[in-house]
Amino acid sequence: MSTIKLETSDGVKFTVKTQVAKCSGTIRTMLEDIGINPQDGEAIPLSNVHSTILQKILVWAEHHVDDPEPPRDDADAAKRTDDICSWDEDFLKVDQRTLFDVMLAANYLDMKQLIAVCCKTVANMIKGKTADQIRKTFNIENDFPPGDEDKIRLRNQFCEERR
Amino acid sequence: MNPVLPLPEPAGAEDAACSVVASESSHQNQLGARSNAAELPRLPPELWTLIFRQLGPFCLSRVRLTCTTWRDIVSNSRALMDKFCIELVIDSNEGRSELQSLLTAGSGFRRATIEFLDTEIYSKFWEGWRVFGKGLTALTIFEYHISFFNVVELLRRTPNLKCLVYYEDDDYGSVCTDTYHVLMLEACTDFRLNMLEEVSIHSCCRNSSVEVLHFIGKLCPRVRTLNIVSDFGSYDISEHFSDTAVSIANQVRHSLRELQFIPTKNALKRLATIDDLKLDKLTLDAEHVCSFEIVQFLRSQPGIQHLYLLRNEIFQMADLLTMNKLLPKLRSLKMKHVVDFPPAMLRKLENLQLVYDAFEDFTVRGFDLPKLKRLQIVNCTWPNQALSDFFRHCPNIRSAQLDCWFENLIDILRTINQSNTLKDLELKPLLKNAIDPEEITFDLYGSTALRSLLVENKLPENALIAMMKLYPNLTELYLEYRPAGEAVYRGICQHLKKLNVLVVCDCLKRKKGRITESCRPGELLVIGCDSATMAPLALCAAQEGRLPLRHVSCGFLAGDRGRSPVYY
Repeated sequence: MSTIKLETSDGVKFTVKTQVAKCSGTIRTMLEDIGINPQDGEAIPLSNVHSTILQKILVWAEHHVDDPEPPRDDADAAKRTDDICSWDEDFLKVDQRTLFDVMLAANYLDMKQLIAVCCKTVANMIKGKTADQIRKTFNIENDFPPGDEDKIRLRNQFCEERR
Repeated sequence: MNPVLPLPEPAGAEDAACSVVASESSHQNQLGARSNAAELPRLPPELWTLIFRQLGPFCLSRVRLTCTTWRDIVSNSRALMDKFCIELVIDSNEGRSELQSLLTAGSGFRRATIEFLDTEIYSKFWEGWRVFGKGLTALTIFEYHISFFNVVELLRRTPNLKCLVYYEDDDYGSVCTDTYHVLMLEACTDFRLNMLEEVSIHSCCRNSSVEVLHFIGKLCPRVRTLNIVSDFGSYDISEHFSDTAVSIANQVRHSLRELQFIPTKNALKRLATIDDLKLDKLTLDAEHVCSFEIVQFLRSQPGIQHLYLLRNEIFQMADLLTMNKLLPKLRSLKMKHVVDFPPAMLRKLENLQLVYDAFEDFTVRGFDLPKLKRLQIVNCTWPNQALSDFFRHCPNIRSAQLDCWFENLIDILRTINQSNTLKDLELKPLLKNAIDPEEITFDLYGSTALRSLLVENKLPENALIAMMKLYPNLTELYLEYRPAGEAVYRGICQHLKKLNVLVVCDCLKRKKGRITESCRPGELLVIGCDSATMAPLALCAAQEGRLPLRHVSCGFLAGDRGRSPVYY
């Protein structure tokens, strides 16, 4: 089984099965399009990913390496956030900082499925909360000018979605 | 390829201590005050946009209120803003500067509803609307409190409009003279809404409506969908009104694909003679037209896929056989008083709605509905075996709405159990016979597919509990009444381990979407319990380890600050 080497921002080198590494669109492009030859023994530098996060992402990729290609986005599927598989749910039971780091790294590595499941996890943290509770959850400061917020609330009514 | 993103700023230990564990998101209230805007949110806007796309308008409106960064992220995304519809009520001077900035600052809104517009008291309105209107693609206008002159001006300044919904004032005829209308029509000859594809007019069927139709016909050359809806019945429909609808259809015949109107016999004949008209969808509110005339008309429209016949046409088997031959692409059908169908017709259908008036017997036999996904049946009596037979022949059914008179509950249960694809069920059972609880546990197998159950009128407690046992995977349970006894709540806690939503309240049926949107995964959201019933539910839940439980009042759906509930 062929392997390649990846080097993280903090200089840690990982030896990874090529197939697992190819879960990342970024690495796949490097290997296939740009023609980086993994046999050279040279590590692919991932300057935006820390070793602790890459470690975690590789665990995810290993588990999902045989997943079929996801179906094309349809509007219906986008709305469901309760269809996270239980393995992923456990995998993402991490502190918010790690979750965001995983998400940033997944974005950099172009791993659509992992981004999707992270998005759903974060969306679930927002769902059913008031603005105040959302601020507390994500440690956000209310930076609306005093009095402004109420006015927006007043005007910001919305209707049921069409049909 | 995604752009390379900057590495997140390393943060101190204090930040790590503050951060929140995702799985404990319901216990965060104590974590509040130590906020520092510079640290979080640490994701780039494009990732927040992806996250926000998972949310519906209800949650998104709260996201917009969280901070200016998030408000701007939402405002800058077309896909997200499409989920909103802003309501404008301009009836006083109050909040004028805010409104002005909302209108001019490119607020990003793409859909708006205008209920009240008094430009006399707010002279700068048009200046703001010039900017705001350009961004709009969908507009709903209530004519009751907006003068026709202002309607014309609104439309003139909304050049990118794709969808217009217009509620006509039922007093219209009394306040406007014919001369006035002619003047108005002349006033709007200097612009066109070329993007407009969908027009719905909620009409009062007065002769004055004719003018409005002409106005629309003149303005909108590329309409794809034209719905002329009568909210007040069609009994006094005039020939002239119906004829005008056909004239408009004729004007836009090249683009028109979907049509709803109130035909008279002659209007329908005229519509059949329009050569280039090719409809996909037709809705007829045809009280004055007999089935023969409708079938005759369908000869001219072989491409129809969706056919909705709203009123009292009586169709005989011969009519239906002809109709089936005429419409090879038929997928959706709504009819009244039809008790038997040609099998070949049923085989094509994906969506079937049948309405009866007087609890007629449903006697359809020898059917086969391999494609049927949605079924709605109103006011009919099912013989014992017929309904479960029916479901046995619908291998792909996903949702069913049954407002029916059943012999007894066992029939319903047997029926549902015939299907392993049914996910969404709405029941308004009118039971002829009481049930024997002994019978319920006997001879019945549950369905693991059913996810959502709505029961509209009161069922005996033991029947409801029996149903819970049979459908263990329910995630949503809507009871349009408040069960009296504790037993029901205990049953819920014991049998429905996956339940996310419990609604015990009337009037909320049409807000299902908003309710599911507001529930957090891993909790049970309870809406509409009073304190007397909430206590036993909470107790049972604790005993069964069924936590966390979140209880909200109906007003919860209206907004953050306990405003009165809005019912649709």
